[in-house]
Parts: sequence; structure tokens; C-alpha cells
Amino acid sequence: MTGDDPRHEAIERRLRDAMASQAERFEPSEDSYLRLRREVREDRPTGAGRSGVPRLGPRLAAAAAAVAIVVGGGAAMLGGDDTQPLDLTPATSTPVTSAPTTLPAGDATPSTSSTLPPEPPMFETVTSEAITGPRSVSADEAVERFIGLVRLDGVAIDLQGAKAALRLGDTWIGTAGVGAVALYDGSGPGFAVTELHHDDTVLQLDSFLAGATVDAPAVEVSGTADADVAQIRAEVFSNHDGLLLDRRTAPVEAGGRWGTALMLSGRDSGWVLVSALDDAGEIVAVVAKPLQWTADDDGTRYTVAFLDPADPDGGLNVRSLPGVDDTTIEGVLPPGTADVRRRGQVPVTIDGTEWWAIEGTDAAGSRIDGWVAASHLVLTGTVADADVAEVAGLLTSRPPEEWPWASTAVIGRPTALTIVDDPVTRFGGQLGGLIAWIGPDATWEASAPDLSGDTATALADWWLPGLTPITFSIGTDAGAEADNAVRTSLYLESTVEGPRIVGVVGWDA
Amino acid sequence: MAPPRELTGPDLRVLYEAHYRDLVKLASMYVDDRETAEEVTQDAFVKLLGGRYRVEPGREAPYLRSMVLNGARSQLRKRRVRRAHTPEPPGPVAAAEASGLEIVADAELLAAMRSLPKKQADVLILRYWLDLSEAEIAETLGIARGSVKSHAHRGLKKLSHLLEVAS
Repeated sequence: MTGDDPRHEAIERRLRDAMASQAERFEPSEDSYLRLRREVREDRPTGAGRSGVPRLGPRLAAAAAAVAIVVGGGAAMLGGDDTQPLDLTPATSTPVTSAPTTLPAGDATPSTSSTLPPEPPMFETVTSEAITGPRSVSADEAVERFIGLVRLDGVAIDLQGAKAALRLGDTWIGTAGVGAVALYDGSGPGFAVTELHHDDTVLQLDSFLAGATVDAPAVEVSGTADADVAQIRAEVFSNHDGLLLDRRTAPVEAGGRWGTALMLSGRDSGWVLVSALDDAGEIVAVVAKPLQWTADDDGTRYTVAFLDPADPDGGLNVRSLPGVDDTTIEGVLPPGTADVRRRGQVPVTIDGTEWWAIEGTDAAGSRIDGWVAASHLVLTGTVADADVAEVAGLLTSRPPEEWPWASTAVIGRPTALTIVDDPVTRFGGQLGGLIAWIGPDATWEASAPDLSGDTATALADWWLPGLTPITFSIGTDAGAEADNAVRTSLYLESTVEGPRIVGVVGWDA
Repeated sequence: MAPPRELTGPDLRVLYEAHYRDLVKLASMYVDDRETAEEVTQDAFVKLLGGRYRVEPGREAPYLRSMVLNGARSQLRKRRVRRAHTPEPPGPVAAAEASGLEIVADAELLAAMRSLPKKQADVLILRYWLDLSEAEIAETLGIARGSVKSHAHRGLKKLSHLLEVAS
């Protein structure tokens, strides 16, 4: 394999020679196989780099002694007794300058997938039960909580009064303040790691929340990091159940400054966790602070909708975790439940389905929280008149060349409905998509059952409870065949971005 | 956590025979002593065979290479920090006599290569030491094949520039 630029040929050749020369100086030690076998069996979880303790020192000597006993000065052949060391010395003294020839067959063919497990990061964040527990904790427990939160592999923390030092082996890597942020749910000592040094990476968190509860819908988080940190990721977790409430990423600007804002809601306490990521997306340093907040409720609520009337559960299942596998149903929200509140801003997508953490009221009047499929929720509230007017205007102003076979007119509420194949289709506000969908070549009414007016109305109320329809007709004017005469209702919700079409119901004229 | 793989002798032996030696040499592109190169390589094997990570059979090689590159670079970073506070020990370059100039040139070239951004250096090592194909490099580093080419091009260009400046 050669380079593509002839100007680089010389440097390529030099590089090959230099690497071959370097590699020639390195041969595995004679006892490497025995040591490796022992290491694997002991299955030590960390390497020397993490513990800071050289792995090979005394044990190398011990292993060498073992080799002297087992081998007796001779190198065993490959494939022999598993207790024997293996001889990897090449048959000739020719320097190895190419790929090994003993690769398994499967290795020679590049895989079409590139989903190799990543190199385990130094810091692995935990996003669930590891940070739940009692709201009031001792300093020692808070330290443990932080260690559990970020899983600082091999890190020890020395508590010294109100401060603590973080050590990786014998190396100081950071400062922790115990009690300096005494607002861990207001009832116990706080614990924060505000600065962390690891390798040549330094991540520092600006002082914020000077002993006070955040009383705002957002908290600004900022600090400094090494310029070679590609970006930072800020997250806020709830103490209630470890739920990730918000996550933001931000670049590290010139001078190493970074900053972002995390959205909060309700009254809760938890942790702000900031991770420094390298250009491979691996976490290279972590800092964290406890936090409690009281954020004004913005009043946004969702209504349970788009349910199959024949659904045996009788409503929207609220699950313990996102997804349907390995989760339990915590409760059911009946269709039309209009007080559903989102917990957090971070959805989870599993097999193409988006799941939201929510809380709402079940049929018995009890508050329940858990995870639901987001496609069964629409915004609660009256659709703004301006939004209705905007969409109605779009419908009636379509130029004839775009909709040549019919004209449209906004009419009243339907008296009889035909439920189309897929009346519940989200268009993300793309009216063009809607027009295409109900165009003359579409098959959307092919298998539609005829329903009586009352049934159809009830069905529409079930599917799209509480929403305001815009009802209009298609194909009732000159040029349209009578068979094509249909009427359609668009169901809207008013979002901060404007009207959004969330459902379509068509019926025979 | 995934259940540990069964640590049978042949499993380890096959992997060891096929890859260990080349991985030690691969690590040597970043670290300058055998013990550290072996340490990094052994760590990679332990992580793979300890059952923490599920790797499809037949795809151990790219995983091991990736782990060794990351581990070796990590050692290099630690070393840089330590060297910032301690005098530079005499290396093999100073001890060389017969082909001293060549070794100095090689050492300078490798040092320049190590100073490149991580992906660029990794691509050059996999390409010019292990002679891996673009697809194999992409799989090892978890990047697109097109990125392999661009990293290699940028790495060689920067390397040429560094050497020009040095000379």
C-alpha cells in the first residue's frame, strides 16, 4: 500500500525504514506467554497506567524465575503444553517489515461493520441507580456517591477536613471540596470535584451556586479545559431516580473557556456532571457538583392520543424503563389524559421509537412516572387562532397547478367519518408532505371502513382528543369526479415554532 | 457485564501466537522501552480475554490493535508529563555508535510522527508498519475509509514540514 502523492514517496520510504528499525529492537520477553496467561486468569481489571503501579517490576522477576524452572533454558514449540512459554522468534533474523502472516483467516477480510467496542474510557459515567439513594448523606457517602457517579477507576480520595485530594496511584490528580457546597438537597454535606488533572488534561469547573439553590429554569455551567479537549459535555441528573434531565455539548473556545446552560424543571436535586471529551469522543476528565433547584413550571403538558380503540391495555403504558423489552408496566394513562408532564429533555430512542420520561395521572387519580412512547403524546391546550388561520390559509391558497384536480374550502366539523389507512401521521409541519399524501394517486382511502357519524366522531375524539381540527373539502368543485369528493380534517397543535399537523382524518363527502 | 469468555489455553495461545509479537512492536512505535510495550500489549489481551468486552470471533485483531495504540499513546502522554519534571535520561540514541547517524535520523522521524495528532499518527503506523489496508485501518480506528486517506495525507504533509523545519 503506497501513498497517493508522489511528493510523499521519500517520507514514506523513510517512515517504513524507521519503523522497521524501531520494531527490530523490540522482541517479547521469553516468559511473556506465561505472564500473560497468569494475568488473564487473575483478570486484573486495571492496567498499570491506571493504578500508577508498574505492572512488570517485581512480578517480572518472579515470572522470569518461573520460566527458568519450567523451561529449563529451552524455548517450547508453538502448540505444545500450555504451561510452556511460546517461542515467537522468527525463523530467520530478517527484520519484520510487513503484516504478520499468522493472522486468522477472518482477519484478512475487512469486516463491513465498524462497530468495534471502543477502548474503555478512563471515566465511565453512570446514568441510573448508581446516583440514587438517600437524599441526605455523610461526607464519606458523598465521596462514594461521586466515585459511583463517574467510576473513577483506581482513584482514591483523601478526606482532610473540608477538603479532599484525589489520587490516581501516588499522583495527585484533583481537588474535591467537601462541605464547600453544602446544598446536597439542603440536608447534608455537599461534595464537588471542581478541578481534575489527568495525564496532561486539566478540566476545571467555574464556581457557581455559591451555597444557594438555583431558582431558575436553567443553570449556566462554565469553566476551562485544555485546548486539546475537543468539547465538553454537561449533564444534569436527578437524585429522584438518576434520570438524565438534560445534556448539552459545547466547544472549548480559544483560551480554553467553555460554557453552556442546562435546562431544569420542577423542584428537585441532583448532580451536574461535566465531562471533557477528546477528539475520539472519549472521556478524559470529569468534574461534578451537587445541585438543587426550584424551577418555575412552564405549564407545558401533553395529552395521551393516537391509541388504538381496541387496545387491551385501555391506555398508554407507562414503563419502568424506555423500550418494551425487560421493562415493567408501572401504570396506564387513559386516552385523553391531559396533564402529562415531561421529566427532562433527553429522549431515548430504541428501535426507532422515541421514549420520553414523564409523569401523569392514571385512571385512579394516582401520579405515576416512567417512560412512554412519545408518538402517543400531543401538546395539551387550545390551538392558537393564528395557527388555525395560517394552516387554513395554506390550504385554500394552494395554486391550481399544485392541486389541479380539485379545489379546497374550509368547512365545518365533519358529521361522518371514514378513518383512512394511516390517519395518524406526523408531518412535522410540512404541509407539502400532507398534500402529496392525499393527492389523487394516493391509496389512503382504499381500505377505509365506513363508519356511522356517531362512531366516527367518537373515534376521532379517541384518537385525537382535545385537538382542534381544520376541516376542509377536496374535489367538490367543478372538474372533480364525484367519487373523489372527500373531506378531510387536519388536527393541529400549537408549538413555539408554530402550528404542527399531528393528525389527518378523511371522510366521504 | 458480559459473561467472561472461557479462558481456555488454545484460545489464548492462538491469539498470542498470531498477534502478540507484532502488537509489542506496534506499541514500540509510541513507547521506547520493551517493558512498557509488553505491559500495554498484555493489558490489551487481559481486557479482551477477561470478558469485559464482547468481540466477535475473528475480529480480535483490530480490537487488540486499537487497544494497544490507545494504551501506548496513553503511556506516551504520561511520560511527557513526567519528563516535564525530570531530566531526560540518555536514550539508545546516545549509546549508538556504529550507525549513530541513521539511528538519530530514525529517532527524529519517529519523534516527529508521535507529535502528530492521534489519528494521523495511528494511521501512519498501521499503514507503514503493519501494512494494513485502508479498510483494516478504518476498522481498527473506527473511522471511515475516506478519513484514513485524509489522515494519512495530512500526516505525511505535516511530517515533511516538521522535518524540513528541523533540518
